[in-house]
Formats: sequence, C-alpha cells, structure tokens
Amino acid sequence: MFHLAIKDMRFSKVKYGLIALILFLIASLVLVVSGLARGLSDQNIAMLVESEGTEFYVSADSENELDQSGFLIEDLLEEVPTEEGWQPLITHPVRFVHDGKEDEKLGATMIPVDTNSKLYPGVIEGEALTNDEDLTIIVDQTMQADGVELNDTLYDEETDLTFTVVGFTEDQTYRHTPVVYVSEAAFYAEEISPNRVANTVVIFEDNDALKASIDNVLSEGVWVDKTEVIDAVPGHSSEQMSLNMMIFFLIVISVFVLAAFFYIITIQKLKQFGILKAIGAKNQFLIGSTLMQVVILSLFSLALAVLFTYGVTFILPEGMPFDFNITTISLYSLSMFLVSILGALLSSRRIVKVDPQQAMGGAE
Amino acid sequence: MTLPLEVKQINKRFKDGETYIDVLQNIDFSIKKGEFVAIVGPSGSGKSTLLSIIGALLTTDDGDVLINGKTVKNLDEGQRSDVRLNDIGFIFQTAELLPYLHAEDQLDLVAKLNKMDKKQRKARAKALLTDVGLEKRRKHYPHQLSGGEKQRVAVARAFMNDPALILADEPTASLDESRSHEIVSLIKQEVKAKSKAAIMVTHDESLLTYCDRVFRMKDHHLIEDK
Repeated sequence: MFHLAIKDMRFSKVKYGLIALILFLIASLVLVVSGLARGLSDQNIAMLVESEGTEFYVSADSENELDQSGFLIEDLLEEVPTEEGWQPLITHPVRFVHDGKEDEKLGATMIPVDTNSKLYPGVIEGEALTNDEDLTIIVDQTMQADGVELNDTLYDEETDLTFTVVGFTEDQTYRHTPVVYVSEAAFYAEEISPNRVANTVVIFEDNDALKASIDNVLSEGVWVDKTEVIDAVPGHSSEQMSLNMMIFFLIVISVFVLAAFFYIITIQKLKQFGILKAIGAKNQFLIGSTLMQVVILSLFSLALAVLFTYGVTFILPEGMPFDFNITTISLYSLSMFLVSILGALLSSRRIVKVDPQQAMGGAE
Repeated sequence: MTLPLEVKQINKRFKDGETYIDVLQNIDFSIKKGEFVAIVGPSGSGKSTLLSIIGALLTTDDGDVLINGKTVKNLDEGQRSDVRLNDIGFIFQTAELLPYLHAEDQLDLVAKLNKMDKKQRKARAKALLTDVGLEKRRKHYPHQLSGGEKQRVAVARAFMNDPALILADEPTASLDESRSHEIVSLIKQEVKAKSKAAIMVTHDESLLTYCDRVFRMKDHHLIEDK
C-alpha cells in the first residue's frame, strides 16, 4: 500500500507537487493569519493575560470595561490596607513625544505601580523601577520598534513632564499600545491624577472576606473575573471574531479545494482502479493507498508551512503583531491534516463504486 | 480429478427498457488442465459477458460456475475478489499496466496482494519475465515498452499468482498481425508448460490454430466446432 502510493507519486511528480504546493499555500495562510490573530490579541490584552490578578472590582454600570469604570480610593486605602492583598489598577492613556518628533506621537498606556506589588512585571533589560518620585519609567519592549532605547526621554505634552526610560519589560501591551510603568509615588507627586483613583481594584486570590470588605467601602461595583474583563476590552471580541472567521472560512475552503483535487485525481485513476479490482485488489487496499498518498502529501506540506510561518516571523517588520505559538500552530496544523483526510475520504466513494467488469471487453 | 473450470447451464438476461434481452442461454461446458480454448463470435454476441461471468466479475441469473471445483455462486464481493486474485489470471485487450510501475513491480504487486513473501515474489517475477522474453527489460516502465512488450508483461502478470484458469479478452486487439501471433503462441506455450486451463475470446480466425478447442457464440448459445 505504502510502496504503491510512493511509486505513484514519484512517477507523477508534477501533479502531486502541485497539490502539495496548494496545500502548503493554504496551510501557510491559515498559520500566518492565526499568528496575526494571536499577535493582535496580545497587543490588545497581553497586560491583562499576564496579570497575576484573578478578580477585578469594576463599576456596576461599566459593562466590565476598565476604561468605563472608576473609583475614588482614598477611603479604601485607609480602611483596608493594600497589604491585605489588593492593588488599585489605573490605565492612563498618554501620548509621548520622542526624539523631538512632534507629529509622530507615541501612544502608550501609563500604569502607576507599587514595585513591591504583584502588578509590577519586572524588567528584561535595563534597570528595575524604584518606588521613589523620580520620573523614570519602564516600557514594553515593543517600543523598541519605534526607536526607543534605554535612557531615552519621553515627553508628555499634556502634563508637561519628561520621563526617562530605564528598563524594558515584555508582554505588557494594552489596547494596542505599549504599557509604560511609572512608580506610584512619582505619579501622585506630579499630580498626574489629582486624587487617589483607580479604574479597578485587583485581588490576587479568591478571598470572600476581602471582597466583601472592599465592596463595603467602595460600593456600586461588582466583582468579575479576569476573562470577563478581557472579553470587555474594546475591540478584542470583534477583532478575534473576524480573524477567527477568516481562519474558519479558510479551513472550510480548503476542504472543498482539496476534496476537488483529490476527486479529480481519483476520477483520472478510475480505470486503473477498475483493472486493479478485476485482478483482485479490494476496495480497502485502493482506498488505503489513496489515503496514504494524502497523509504523505499533507504531512510534507504542513511541515513546510510551519517552517515557512516560522521564517515569516523573521522577515515581518518590527512592531508587527505576530505570535508564533506552538499550541496554536499544532492545533491548526492538525485541523488542516484532518481536513485533507476528509477531502480524500469524500472521493473514496467513487473508488468503491468502480465496477471491475469495465476492465472487460471495451467494445461490447 | 477436479476440473479447473466447469460452466453449468448459465443464463443471463439484461434489461433493455421495458423488455429483457437474453444474452446467454444454456451455456454449458468445461475445460481440462492444459487446454487452450477459444471463443469466437461477432461483437455484441455476449462473448465478453460470458468471460465476465466466468471471471467472477458478473453474476449469472441461473446456473453455476465452478472454478477448481469451487462454486462462485452466492459469494460476496470480497470473496469474488479473492477468487479473481488466487484462481484466475486476466489478460485484457490492452495490457492495462499501471503507468508508474516497472515490469517487475507490475508482477510484484499482484503477488503482494496475494501476500506472497518477498523472496518468492522476486524469484517468480524474474522467472516469468524470462519466460516471456523480457529478462533484460525487467526495470522498464510501460511508456518505455512497445505494445507487444507491454502485452508480454500482462501475460506474465496473469500467471504470477499461479492461477488455475487464464482468461484472455481479445488479447491481440491492439497488436499487429505478427505481434498477435507472437502473443497467442506465448500464451499457448505458458498454458502448456504450466498446465493451466485458458480461454481466449477473439474474432481473429487466424489465431484459432493455436487453440485445442474452438467454441462459437451463435444466437446466445455456445457451440463447439467439431
């Protein structure tokens, strides 16, 4: 079965090569689009995904959207100290002027943070943030694509403040902007926000007593978990839905394209199948050889497509949201593999229907 | 002694619109080992239908076919497929070789389907290709072989699984006269040497000299030349 499959493919290199090419192209497209979908999603929500926060207290009328939620937390800070296991989270949109380029402002999300708290992500390059009032910041490494380097200064027109970049962090992006961490002390010393406010209050483990006492002080809010907050990030659901829709349709289209190709190849070989049946080959054997060819072709093409997608990560411009994720890649490769098997199975019905008697007496 | 082939009172009708056409009526004959038999008749007379029934490719309406003493009546598709694989060697109008296999692999394939072990397969394929005069062209693909050579490979393939019965359906239809005689005398030589029973359907009267017995299809009946 295996040898027959291989010999046939070796003999008709061009025909099978073309199918392998098409399969490779579709699979590459699926993998690249899925990489983009993940990359975009990361850009929008990575800060939340990476967050150690498990539950978020948001305004009841905010529909779980952090930017629509807000609390004055002076009282809370007095009555329930943060040591009990909560942190305020503020997302403050800023537009920085870098390197004197007034017309190319860099959008970012500023988050004031207590560097000893679980909200502080740490650095992968440069120096860690300190809890003093210096105007130092650590920024997500995606800012490097915009030319931001260590010790560069970023100027915020609105507050007329100049910040110095001391370190880079990773996987800290929110609403398609890099996150910029500044110390809480500096944030309030410069009165970037006049009052102690928070978009949301974050806790890091399920603690009903703590939840109740926070609710007691703040009121008018609800506790929601991380997934609910992520789903409510503007654009996230619609973005993911349209990209997933593209992937879904690509896979559906590939079912039809592959099925059509395999069908044509099968039709071309019906006479051969008739002869083979006449001399004693069974359906099982013929379908087996055909499936074997599809398995070999798809494994080959998918392996190439994975390699290609991996290669794409190197040639994409910096700052392009793209995520080469092994789990996603394997999941979609497996779906493509099953799709091609399915496509091939559709034509096996024709193999079963071939009448071996057609081998006899062409004239009669 | 069991006969390689016994055909017992076969009738076959085909539906043609509202009516039925009798194609075969009361066909009854048998063949002994080493006998090379010809069936002749005009086209449309039912020769190929008869050969299909004998070859377990088509079922009969009445009567029975015994191959090597075993009935093929009431066998399911898989069992009939096994009968074709083990007990019958087919030679078709055109060689009908697989384009992607060289001569030796053509023979190897049918033996592999029959689960013959590798060493035996190799030895048999080599011996049979030598018998048909193609020992030097064992590794040639069909497109590298002439029409006559392809048909020789087909003849060798028919003998590969050591069947009791060889069925040749107009094996010379695509060959010129001298090639036709070569192929038929080759079939005769192999049938005699290996003591098989063989039926050849043809309408080339000049080939009948190679055959031991000649049957003619006439008005749906099979009549033997005396």
